[in-house]
Amino acid sequence: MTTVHAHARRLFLKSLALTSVAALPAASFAQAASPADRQFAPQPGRWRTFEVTTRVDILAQQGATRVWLPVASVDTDWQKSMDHTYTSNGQATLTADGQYGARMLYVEFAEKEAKPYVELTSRIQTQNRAVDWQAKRSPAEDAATLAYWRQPTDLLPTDGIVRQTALAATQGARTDVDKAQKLYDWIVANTFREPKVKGCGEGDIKTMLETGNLGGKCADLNALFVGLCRSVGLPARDVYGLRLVPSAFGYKELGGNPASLKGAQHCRAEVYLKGYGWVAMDPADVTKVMRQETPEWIKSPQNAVVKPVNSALFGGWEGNWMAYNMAHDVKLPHSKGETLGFFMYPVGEDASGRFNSYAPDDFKYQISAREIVTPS
Amino acid sequence: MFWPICRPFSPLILAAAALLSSAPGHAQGYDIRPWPAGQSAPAWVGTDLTGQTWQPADLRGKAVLINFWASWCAPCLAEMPLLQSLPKAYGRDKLVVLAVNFKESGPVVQRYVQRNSLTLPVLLDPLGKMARAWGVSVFPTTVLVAADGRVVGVVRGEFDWAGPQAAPLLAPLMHPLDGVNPQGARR
Repeated sequence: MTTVHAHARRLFLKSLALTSVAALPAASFAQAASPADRQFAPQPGRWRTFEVTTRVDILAQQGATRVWLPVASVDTDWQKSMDHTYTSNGQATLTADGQYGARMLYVEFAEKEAKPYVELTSRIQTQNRAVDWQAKRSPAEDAATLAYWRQPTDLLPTDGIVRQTALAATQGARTDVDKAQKLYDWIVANTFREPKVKGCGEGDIKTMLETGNLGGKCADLNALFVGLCRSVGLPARDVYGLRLVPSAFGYKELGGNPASLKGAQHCRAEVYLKGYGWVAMDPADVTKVMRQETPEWIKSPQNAVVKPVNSALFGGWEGNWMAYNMAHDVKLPHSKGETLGFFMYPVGEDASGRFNSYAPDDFKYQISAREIVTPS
Repeated sequence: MFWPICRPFSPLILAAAALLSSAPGHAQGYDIRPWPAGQSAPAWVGTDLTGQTWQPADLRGKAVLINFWASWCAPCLAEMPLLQSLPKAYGRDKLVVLAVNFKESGPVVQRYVQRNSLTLPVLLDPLGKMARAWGVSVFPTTVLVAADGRVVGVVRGEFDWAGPQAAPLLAPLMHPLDGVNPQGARR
């Protein structure tokens, strides 16, 4: 077994200003007996420690096999990526992509390996995020970094229909916070409409907007939010990660089952707002609560079940989720396959091509987590 | 929806016009686009999972639906059983359906086909070249090819291939020389 400690930050992830947050009451479980009692108010101030284990067993090889596992690459005032250990009967190396610093465990299995496997265990700490909108400050972020996070990517164009949509949605906005709020509200408001074309794009936000298909698994709504923000000059980025444990507020759609997290991948977002720095955003989870928290699809964000979530996820999120990276257009080292639009699932390939990362039972892989509670 | 001003007796245009006039455009969840007049069809050859090669010259005399899909696309999967049933319903000598998978590996596609008991020809497009050549960016997209080899249009989005909208769309493909006059009677 090999132990590797966390590496230093790369250029675009370093020097994130610490958020100076007033001490706020810790979140408590909502013993909600009715929709009117629902609460969702994550507050920072308490670090939680998790151990996350990803296990891959290759079921059938055709030739030599390669596997890439995302590794937590984010070290900020809301997540600390501590250490990583792994075991495998292949040749395993911790490495990173060349641009975003997205770390990964790369494993090569020999062609004749009978039962290829790899198991990666990471220890991380997380805490809740929230913004004190009354306490403006100006955390340092260099201009080149902000310009970087305004750029389009293959899946996030910032011109054409994306910009047109964003301009229409942000009409009348006077500040960056106003713009972000209007775009956040636009995402929440537009996902309940019936699509013009019930079909899927490749994950690009242009096709999402053209088809109007913003629901279901076809739409990455936080990527759409990031693209809309960038198109009107707000630096924004996706943060790709994994839900770990249930929500402390009783929202079943906002947590994961720690015994089986193979389908718990979730992308959040951040926007840089003048005066506040990088701020947490998750309009996609608001829409998830609206669609799936109750048997009936809730159409109004003012509904008592949705309202607290809608409010808190603009500027905050719960620390029951682990960030892997913020990388786009990821070229996996040694891969013969295509560039990935994003990297938050295990990836494997052999002579027959890429495995299906969205079918963990075929791949096969499982992810689990446990919270390490230190006695006080 | 843009309609070309030429070819007023094109069966597809009349069929599509009838479909669009009978239902609110956006509530359908699909759109139908006539193939641009004068635009030639891309050349293509494909091999299905059994190793059989498919190309346009071998399909002349039959209407062909070229359906672009992926296993991560829920609307694609929803319409697949209906697409599969069409050749039997219309006659295998009259209509062929080819399902072209977008950018997934052979084993992934094979596994999906087996799990869902698909029997229609499934072609692989591992680099997405065929989809790009046809201008496909939304999945599912179904290209409509008449029995005389003319590409007449494209259906984007999930379509009810067994519903009342299907027959007016498919029948003219199998009888492209018949056509209909504006009053709806056959010549």
